[in-house]
Amino acid sequence: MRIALNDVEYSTGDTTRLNRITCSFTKGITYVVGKNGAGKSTLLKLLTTSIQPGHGEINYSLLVRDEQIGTYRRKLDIEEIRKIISFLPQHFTGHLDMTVERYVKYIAYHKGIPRELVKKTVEHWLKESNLTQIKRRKIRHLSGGQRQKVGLIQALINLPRICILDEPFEGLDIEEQLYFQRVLRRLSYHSIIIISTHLVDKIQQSSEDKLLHLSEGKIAYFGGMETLEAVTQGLQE
Amino acid sequence: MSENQELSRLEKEWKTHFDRFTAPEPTREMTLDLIQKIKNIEQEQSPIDLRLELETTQNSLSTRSKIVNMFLSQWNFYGTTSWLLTGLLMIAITFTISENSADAMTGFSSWIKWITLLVIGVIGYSFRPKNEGNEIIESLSYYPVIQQIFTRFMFVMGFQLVLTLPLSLFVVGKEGTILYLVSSFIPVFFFGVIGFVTIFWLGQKIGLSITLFIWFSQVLLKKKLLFQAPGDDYFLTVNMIILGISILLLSSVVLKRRFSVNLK
Repeated sequence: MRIALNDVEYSTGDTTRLNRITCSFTKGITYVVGKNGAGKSTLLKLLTTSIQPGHGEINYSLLVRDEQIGTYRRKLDIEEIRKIISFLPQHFTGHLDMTVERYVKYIAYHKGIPRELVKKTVEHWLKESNLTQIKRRKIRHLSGGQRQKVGLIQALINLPRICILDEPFEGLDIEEQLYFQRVLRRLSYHSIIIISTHLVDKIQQSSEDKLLHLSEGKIAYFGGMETLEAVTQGLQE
Repeated sequence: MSENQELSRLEKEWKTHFDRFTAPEPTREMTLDLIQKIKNIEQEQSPIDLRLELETTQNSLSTRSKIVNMFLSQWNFYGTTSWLLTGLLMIAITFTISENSADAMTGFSSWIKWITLLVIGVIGYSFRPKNEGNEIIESLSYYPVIQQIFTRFMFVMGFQLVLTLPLSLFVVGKEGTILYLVSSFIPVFFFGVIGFVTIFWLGQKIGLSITLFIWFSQVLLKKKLLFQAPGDDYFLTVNMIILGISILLLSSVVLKRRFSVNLK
């Protein structure tokens, strides 16, 4: 699986949010960092297909091995892409009038989990995220951290091939952060995980992860995590 | 010999070759074998691809199962409690009016007004406003957005029509005829379609306002227009017209899909 951005530009009114971005994402975790207004959220929304670039293109392709033709890249159409992407928005609300259990159940069906597996899947995620006790509580009555966990569950429940998370660890305590980081690490063996975060010091460094530093809508750095320290210093200045 | 031991042996052979050129060089086959073994070990170390398992299960589902799953997702969106409350409210309206109306005609006229108002309320709740995040989450589904909203509409309408038809007989009593069934079906269908289509095109607030405006204009008008009963002069003509308008409006949903595909 690969997402390739080619000369992507996105503007709203007179403001250029993203300026000529060219990069590609493959399986593993990529952290997107940058100051407020750098274009992180815009980039993530473009990747979810919810907004379209004003210039350039974004291609989603899959490596297919065929005995007769050989190995080739197959471009995915929008409906195929939307089946395998999940997204956690920066300020996740869910449907406030739904209970935790009903929302997670709705999402399980929504993401195409077969009905025989829905109950088991919902119970598993609620238990692992310590939400079983409050499963009958409406989302509007949850604390920030609890609501964020529901948001993370909706993004992870179908083990997506492309997982796009905007500030996923906001409001979570250390134990909860570690749990979801473990889940994401496991998922990253087979999926593309893109995480936007301002909590740069909370990033669990791994030599396989990548770092994308955006500055004023442009790529300031895209590569391995070895420059994280320098990037962090730059962001704190 | 374990995989690791064999890898160490092959590695040692290569190293020996670099140290001493007279040492026998590992063959090409041995090298390819080493690469394959490294690949296998890597694969064994990475966790099972659970997504692949899920996709295999999804692909093995029959079309019937897929349709049932999609219906269940939309049922859950509205929620069993909300469905029950809607049903109870419809029954309550029916019994209150049937007990308090002097004759079938008057009872039917006021009953159909309240039932259509309830239809508007349910449509409004089913297509309640979404923020940007929820809208993106809704589009990232196993089912295309158009299928989701159409299923939701069919649910709302199907549920209400199934309840409306037998309930109308309670209001009109012994005078119940096919014409009374038609006159209860068409206004319910019309307001359902108006609500759905206006929300679909113009968003929840504007859509609901337009639908409520049409409803109030009918209630406040002294002359009956949309809520015709079988004894009225233009009963058939008006019902045929509003059925035609409903079907045309519903077809515009397909147009929206074509528009968006062209834009892309």
